[in-house]
Amino acid sequence: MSDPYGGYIEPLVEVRETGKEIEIYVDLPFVEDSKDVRVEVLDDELEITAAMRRSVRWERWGTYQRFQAFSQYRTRIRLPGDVDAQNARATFRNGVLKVILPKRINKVKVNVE
Amino acid sequence: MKHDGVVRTNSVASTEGGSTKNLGTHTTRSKVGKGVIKRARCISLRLSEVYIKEYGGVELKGPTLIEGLPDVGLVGVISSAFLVDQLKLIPYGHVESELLPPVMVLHNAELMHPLRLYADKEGSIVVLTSEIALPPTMLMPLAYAVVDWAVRNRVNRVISLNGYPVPNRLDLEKPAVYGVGNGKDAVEYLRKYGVEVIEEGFVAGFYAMLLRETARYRVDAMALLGQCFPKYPDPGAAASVVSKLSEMLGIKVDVKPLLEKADEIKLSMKDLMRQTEESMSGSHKVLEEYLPAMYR
Repeated sequence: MSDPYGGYIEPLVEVRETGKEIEIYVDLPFVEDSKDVRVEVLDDELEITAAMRRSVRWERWGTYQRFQAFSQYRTRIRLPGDVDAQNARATFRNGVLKVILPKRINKVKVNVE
Repeated sequence: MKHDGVVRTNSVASTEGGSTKNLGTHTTRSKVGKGVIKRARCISLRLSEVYIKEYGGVELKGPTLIEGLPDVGLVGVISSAFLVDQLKLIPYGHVESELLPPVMVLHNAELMHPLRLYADKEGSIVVLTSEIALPPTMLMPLAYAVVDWAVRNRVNRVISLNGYPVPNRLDLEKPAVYGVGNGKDAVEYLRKYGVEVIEEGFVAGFYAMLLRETARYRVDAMALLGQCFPKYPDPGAAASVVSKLSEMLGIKVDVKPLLEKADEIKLSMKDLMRQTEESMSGSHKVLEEYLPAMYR
């Protein structure tokens, strides 16, 4: 049967905000190495793709199909605010990708009378 | 009366000191097909009913009830499913309710209820597990029904398996297990097995209701909470919780398969995690991150 997902699966994502940063955690089971993960900042979104070490095939009855096979993750995450993409950093450990994006904060002092 | 032979009246019955006391019209116990439906305690104001249907075949002997329903990190679900498999538990019953979504599960072409009970042949362990996220409106009626069932079946102890979300989970090699007890005896029992007991904070969700209701009927109950990822299925946390549980119950369970199959488990439980996330947003789960206001 055809695979409408094109071999991609959407991973579970958690977005946390601290005062100065946006932290994004992405669960990537079956991904082995940081070299298999690609992270890109696109305006107000973060795009993540990652290759699994092997293709995963599920058999189940869904609305569209009976079989699903995946070999990659792909997701786009809407960022909750402006970020300084140049200073973004990412680590991949124990199957979890952590991306830290510094917030771009325009601070203007307001006089109190 | 409905067509399945089960009397559904909005009577109020409560169980006190191990015996059932009718406060309203009447409680019923009807035979339907192979199983016996024992009426769960119903609260007339709620107009919601939850039934535990038992299949028979196992004689319970003051069992320990282990609850592993969907919650943070799916620690309970992963743990309970693993226990069912490892201890070769047999189907003991299921939960029926109009509050459940209209869903059945197929396994090897067999139609099954999503919320099920399993037991060991000796009748010393009963596990409550679910394959679907539970609607927040069901948590309280289900807790009433489970505790009512536990009292009727002289359950010795109730142990909930659950997660304790921590922001630094990624840095933890072996997640720690914390405990919450519903009374002095339960807290003592946890400490006896080296479980660090949470002394201040909120607990929310099904296990919180189970702790509350069991305390009302003086049934010892506790929750084992493994440090976990808040939003991903966490087989590592489940391994820690199952290890502690096996130590407490004196049973042999090798948790290695849980860790070896972690990727597979995480991926297969992805959809349930999403459903659970949605369901938890309506169950005041966020309160667990807050400090209680009362000072001591």
